[in-house]
Amino acid sequence: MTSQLNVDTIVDKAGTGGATLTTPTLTGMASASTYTSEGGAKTQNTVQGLTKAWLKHHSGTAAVLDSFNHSSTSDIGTGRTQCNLTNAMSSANNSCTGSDEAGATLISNQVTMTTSTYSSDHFSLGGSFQDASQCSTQMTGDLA
Amino acid sequence: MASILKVDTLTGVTTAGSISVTGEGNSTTTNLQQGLAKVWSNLDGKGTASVIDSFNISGMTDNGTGDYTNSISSNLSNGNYVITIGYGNQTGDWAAQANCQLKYASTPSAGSYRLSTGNSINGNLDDFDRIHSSVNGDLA
Repeated sequence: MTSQLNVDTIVDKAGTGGATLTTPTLTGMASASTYTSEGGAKTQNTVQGLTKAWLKHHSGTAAVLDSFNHSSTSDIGTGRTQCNLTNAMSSANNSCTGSDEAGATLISNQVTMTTSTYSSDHFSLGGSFQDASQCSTQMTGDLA
Repeated sequence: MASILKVDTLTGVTTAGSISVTGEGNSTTTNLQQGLAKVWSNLDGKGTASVIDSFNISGMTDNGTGDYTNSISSNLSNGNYVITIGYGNQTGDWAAQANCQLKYASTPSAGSYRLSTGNSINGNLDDFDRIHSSVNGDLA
């Protein structure tokens, strides 16, 4: 049976806000759950719209400044960081976008993906790998 | 006790398209709808360009070398949405001067946006094997 939940705010079970908000867990959303759009004219899949992983890191040391759904990182060379996901994606065909402190020197950030890892690679204007201290990535796509 | 809420559709009561969720820090609320990515795509721009995988994309037009238009299934409310773009190098064929961006002088509309890829040194457009983009903004 199709169900629809009309709510304004999702809070914890006690109704007191987010003090112990580890629940509720929303399930039944694997492929079909939708939400009403901001303009009210569309419905859209909820889970597919969620960012599945994001990472802020330093490519020189692989130090993680902040992250979501990343288990670890490692320095695999100048300008290159191996990033490992906690929960793997369903394929390597996701969208992973990123940025760094481009300015006058860094011109390109690229990724090479598998379902559970990707390399975040940064280049200088001259075409060489170059470290960057403010590297951001975000992954959208389908989880396994 | 943990609870599991099973639903198919989330709709706001006061405003259909506005649901608040409590933030990770437990002190603020944020808008669920506005926090969701509305479009993402992974394009193969080489040869006969194709959509490898996508969400809320109805099709892609190959406008020529390094020039692509993504068409959106469920339109955004206007063209003022955020687009982030990245190059996915799946072949290990490093393109150190690879640049992926919005097509020069193009203006995104509610239903489409145009991407270009090329060499940032010589300025020439070039086809790349994986072009990633993601859109944040308000749906219509």
